[in-house]
Amino acid sequence: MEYILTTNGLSKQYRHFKALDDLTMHVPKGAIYGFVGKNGAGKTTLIRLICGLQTPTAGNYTLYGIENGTKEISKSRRRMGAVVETPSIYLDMTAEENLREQYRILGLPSFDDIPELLRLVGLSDTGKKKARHFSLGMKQRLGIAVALAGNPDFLVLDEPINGLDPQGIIEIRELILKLNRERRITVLISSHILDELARLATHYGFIDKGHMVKEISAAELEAACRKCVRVEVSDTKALSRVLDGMEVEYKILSETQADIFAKVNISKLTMALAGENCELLGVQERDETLESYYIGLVGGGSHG
Amino acid sequence: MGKLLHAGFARLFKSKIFWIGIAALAGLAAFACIGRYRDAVILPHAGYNTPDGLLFIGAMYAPIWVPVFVSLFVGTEYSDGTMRNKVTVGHSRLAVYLSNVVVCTAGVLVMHLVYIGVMLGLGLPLLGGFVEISANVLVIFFFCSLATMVALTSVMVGVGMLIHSKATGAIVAMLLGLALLLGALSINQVLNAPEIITDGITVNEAGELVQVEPYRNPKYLAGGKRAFFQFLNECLPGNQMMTIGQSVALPRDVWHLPVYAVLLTVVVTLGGAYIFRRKDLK
Repeated sequence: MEYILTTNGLSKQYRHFKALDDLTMHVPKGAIYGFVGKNGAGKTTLIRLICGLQTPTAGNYTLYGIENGTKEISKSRRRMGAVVETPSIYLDMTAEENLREQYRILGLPSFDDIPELLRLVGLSDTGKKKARHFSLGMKQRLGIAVALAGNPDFLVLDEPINGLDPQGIIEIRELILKLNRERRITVLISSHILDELARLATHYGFIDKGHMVKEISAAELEAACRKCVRVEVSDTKALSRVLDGMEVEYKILSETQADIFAKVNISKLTMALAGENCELLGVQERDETLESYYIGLVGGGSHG
Repeated sequence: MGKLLHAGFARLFKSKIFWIGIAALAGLAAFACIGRYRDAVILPHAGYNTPDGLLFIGAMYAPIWVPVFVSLFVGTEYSDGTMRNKVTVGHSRLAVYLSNVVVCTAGVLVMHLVYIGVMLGLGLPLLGGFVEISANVLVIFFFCSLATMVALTSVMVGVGMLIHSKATGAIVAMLLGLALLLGALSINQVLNAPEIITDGITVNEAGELVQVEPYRNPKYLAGGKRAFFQFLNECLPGNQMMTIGQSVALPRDVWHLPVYAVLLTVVVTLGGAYIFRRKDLK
């Protein structure tokens, strides 16, 4: 598999705090890589490192196969765009002026692409309105447009939907999907809003306390997240006997609740339970979600 | 770096603080000329009827306005987060730092030239030519003032680039500017103190005012201390501006001024760029 970004034993220490600890990750070409972790887990630190804003304390990373610390890494960075934490835009400039400024920074010879870029992010009708007066969602989209100046093929987005209203979240999601599908842009997106990531990501990396806990593709995750039926009964011991007899996989959760990892005939189950003097009180079909998978990996401890 | 300069100058010409600065210095020059003209009309024999001493008033107050302009212009890069855009797309930290030094220096020099242009454009027709100060001294001081402006700007860019918070950077730069100005006044006062006090007056036993015998001024600096204060007077941008603004003749070793200004610029810029290269950006 071809990787746009790989990190190898990457660490970053701030005085007495280790923000990244021996982190190894692989972002495949063409992926939407969901970088999942609590607040303070080290997501933004990693993004700052790969953007060249900070230098690692130990370990290394490669961008398009070029290692950090070499002179060529600057050329690799020209192929990436990033929105780190807040959108990097001049608030006293219009959307178009911001893009012109970024085009100059990149040394692009013409501003002809700017209207198309503004259309892509849905800001073509902002006219002379200064970015200061934009909504948070508009600022975020302008930040993405600035990151897209120069046609990068790797886009890094740090918490792009934080603080957005539902409409803003949908717009950003659709934009990311469009960029990935239509422009074949690889996207690294960090977030702790798991439901939203689940709608986008093709690959996941789970980080906790600066360490990569697990990297997994969305397909693998789907296979790992098994569907189950949660039943509520008057006596789970009786339920155990019945399910053992049916030779199905199950997990007892409490004295009254259990998960059954198979399709069961509810009528047969009810009758079998009645034979054991046990009542079936409720049945609910459940999917293991990204959230429960994540909690299973890193635990549900306090957020940083 | 050419790309960064292109972007930097484009931003400079769109910057409100740059145009406000130009308007303020033009206004200061006009105010100084009109004020002097008014004095000349009201008190025609008091000697306030020439443009002498007006040409470098803008430069004398540079420790006040340069920090304001530079800290707000550079600080915006941090507060708006746009410094990241330059580094993320592969520009070196050195190029980012130097481009800011060049752009801010250009902005400051334009403001300085606007002051001088308005002062000459308004002052010469209203007040006539310079009387106390010769043209060649003015020209030498003009070039010295350019070198000092560059040095002062490089110091303020260093402050702006190394302090991540725009507000903190602005406060530190303005306090530093104020310290340079007040320091210049204090050092000047100390250096200009007479060695022997000849005009001391006291009251005798009869209650009459009598002149005392000349005596040595205890506040007069001599030896190594004087040499050190003399060095500060020639080296610090605030003092250089004061010398340029208040002198009517060239001081001894006038060439010290641009040499120290260039040295200060080089040392501060190299040091600032070195620290900025190692700085963790957010």
